[in-house]
Amino acid sequence: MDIDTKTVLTKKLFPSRFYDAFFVSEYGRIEAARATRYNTCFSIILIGVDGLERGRLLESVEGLEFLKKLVAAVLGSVRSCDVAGLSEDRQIMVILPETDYFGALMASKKLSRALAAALKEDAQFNVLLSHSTFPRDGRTFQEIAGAGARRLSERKDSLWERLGCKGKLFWEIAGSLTGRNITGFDGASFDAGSGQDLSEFFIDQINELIMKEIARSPQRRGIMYYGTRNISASLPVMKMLSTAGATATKVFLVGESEGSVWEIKNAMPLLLDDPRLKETFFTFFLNEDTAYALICKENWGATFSCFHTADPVLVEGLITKFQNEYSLQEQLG
Amino acid sequence: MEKFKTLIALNDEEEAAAFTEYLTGMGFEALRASDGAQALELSIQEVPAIIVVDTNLPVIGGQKLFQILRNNPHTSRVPFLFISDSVADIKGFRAGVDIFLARPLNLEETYARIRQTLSDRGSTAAKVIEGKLSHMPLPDLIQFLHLNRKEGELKVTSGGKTGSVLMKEGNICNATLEGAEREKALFRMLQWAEGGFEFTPGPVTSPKKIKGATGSVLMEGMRQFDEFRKRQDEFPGPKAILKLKVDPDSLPKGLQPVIHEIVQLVRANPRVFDLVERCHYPDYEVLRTISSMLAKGVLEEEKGDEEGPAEEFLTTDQMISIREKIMGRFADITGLNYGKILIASTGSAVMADFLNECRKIPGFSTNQKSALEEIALVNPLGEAGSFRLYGGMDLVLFSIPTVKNMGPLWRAFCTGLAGLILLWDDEGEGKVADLAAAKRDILQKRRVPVAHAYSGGGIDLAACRKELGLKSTDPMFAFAPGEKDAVHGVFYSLFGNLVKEDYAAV
Repeated sequence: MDIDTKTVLTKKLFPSRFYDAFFVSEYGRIEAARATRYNTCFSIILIGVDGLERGRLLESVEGLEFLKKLVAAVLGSVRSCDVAGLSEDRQIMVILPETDYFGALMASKKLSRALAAALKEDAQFNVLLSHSTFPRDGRTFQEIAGAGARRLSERKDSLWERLGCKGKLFWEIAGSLTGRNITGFDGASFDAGSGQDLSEFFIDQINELIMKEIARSPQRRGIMYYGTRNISASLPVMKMLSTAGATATKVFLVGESEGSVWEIKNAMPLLLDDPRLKETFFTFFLNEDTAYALICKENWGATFSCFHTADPVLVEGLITKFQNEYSLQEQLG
Repeated sequence: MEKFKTLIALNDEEEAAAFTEYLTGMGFEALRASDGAQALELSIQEVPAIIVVDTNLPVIGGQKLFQILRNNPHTSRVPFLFISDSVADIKGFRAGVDIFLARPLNLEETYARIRQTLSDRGSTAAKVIEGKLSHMPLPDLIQFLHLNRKEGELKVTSGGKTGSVLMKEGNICNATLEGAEREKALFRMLQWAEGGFEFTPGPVTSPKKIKGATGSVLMEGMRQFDEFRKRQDEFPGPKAILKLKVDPDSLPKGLQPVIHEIVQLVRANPRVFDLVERCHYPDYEVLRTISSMLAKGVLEEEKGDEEGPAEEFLTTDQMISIREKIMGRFADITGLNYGKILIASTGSAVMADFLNECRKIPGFSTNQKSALEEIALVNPLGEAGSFRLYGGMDLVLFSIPTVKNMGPLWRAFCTGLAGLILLWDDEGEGKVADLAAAKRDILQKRRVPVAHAYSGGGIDLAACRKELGLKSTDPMFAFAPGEKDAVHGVFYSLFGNLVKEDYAAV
């Protein structure tokens, strides 16, 4: 399909607010120059479409119908200042001016929800989203678009997709992650506790390490959920938090309280009375640079089956599932 | 707990009832309003501690109510909790004071947010005593708080340092100053003659760590200060290097705990200054014990090291180049105050040997909790030590255990990574393949210079070189206890490559 035909096609998909690849890339270049000049930020969201044979998405009636619905859903959920267009045959790009990493993350979540609702009948298509931000992921539009494309392909290979977590409940995912033996650099299982390679204190050490990371960069926004059986002011992580200055990372302590926990500095207790928290505890940590999740299930004899991951998609997914299922506020930093 | 008055004005009757019941159960006094006009009337009459309001209330909307009450001097300080079905832009919203929550709500989280806002507001409003130490010295101030049975946090600042003393019902509960706490921190602060203080009343929930009565703790602190001034010439200087002369196991049981702690610490912290810093006991007590241990021949002072000219590891210019290079690698340079050097090793013994040699480098400080094999258990994790670069930037030596399946830790915590050191010994030769895999994975995420070092003889170097993907010209450093030059070489190679090569921001 030649470029002119594609331009005509994109205009037909959603007249007046949906653009072709040339316009989107030119706008992106201008936005990058503007952000450099005024020292601000902007983000892009890439929406990749899987399904139908190569080339048939733009050439078949069903492909075009699907794209129309997709574009309508995208434009219905973005702001009026955002610019959306078909950047490649199977890829839509949304440019979000004046939007930082967490803004892009929230916009991406909003889009993902809108797309899931609009496209639930089209089971043959699968839509994946990724985002990248200036200047975090690059200083030119090409670099930012490249980072977004790289992340889109990483998302396809992410543990979240590989383990099919999308349709599962939070505790179902937690159970399946601690119940199997996973190896790899992005996610892996390990055992800790008596008689294992790693002692149970190792788990505390990991949590202390996260707290140190938070305290070392107090201005960096992020979110952490620390789920444990009993929250008490004497836990090792609490000590680290109480001695740190004010931090921009939101720390939530999840569990039942043991004594007064309301005065713990830099953390907000969420007193959830859930029996599952008695045997499984978790740590989710997400900021601009770091994504880490640790889930540990206590077995008989003070041994722990643990799973930890640095896969941002899985960490983000776990946080979202947890927030949704406990009706917590949707926030990622 | 103080009984806070809360005004609840929500559209949904059921939701308002559930909310009222929950907050009443948590000790709040709840007032209900069914529309904006009633909410306005109640707010002015009762002046609640917080107003929970729906954004689209009938008669007067939530946002309009907010604007009216913000302009009223009696209610302008009352925080608002907005509840809405979707995200809304509220004009005049005060981040850190007002709260916005979107439905569905979790009552626990809502309650936590209300508590946090009310306690933040309390802490900013209730600062009652502040002044200068030159007008009122710390011992007098603590006595005053003790006599008046005050509860809260006393912040003391002097010479760029900030410490805090927690008072509970007039008694000293705990004190913290930088890394130190309990009596050690308190006694250090008692010596301050210049600076300021600020007492913020509020409930103190942390456990009582200073056990003695306030009067006797203060007396003891002042006594130790006087004794220190009188005897300071008898104590070894802060730069003196100490060495343990006896086998720790041969020491009799039942000695004072401070002696055991000094024996434990002295191997990792031979310098008197480091030893005093890291020991949990008050400074005078540590110095006095060191002095008597020297007299009894348990410790020995290594002559020559203190007096000799200070050895220079990195020149100021070199430090500036390294610092600039690290800062240049990251897009967000404003918040970056440290760089990391990740150490991956085949075992904790080789790691401990390497760190022991690093301790001899001028300006290097060890984190004994994660650096020493016997204290770090089997797997050192986290900060093992650090260099202070020119301009207040720390270069942190960071360790992640090399047992299987620790890949996610490498990946997650390589923020600010400036270099990688790979270590192996003859025992761990079989695990070099794991090291090589870790190296590949880390370099895939962050392009950083790598230094390779090994300890022990009988290692098949050619095989290691092949496994690690090194050319015949790439250096591999051999190090052994006592050979500080090799460890210097590792760092010089790493820093040299960092400064020389173009490692673009990742």
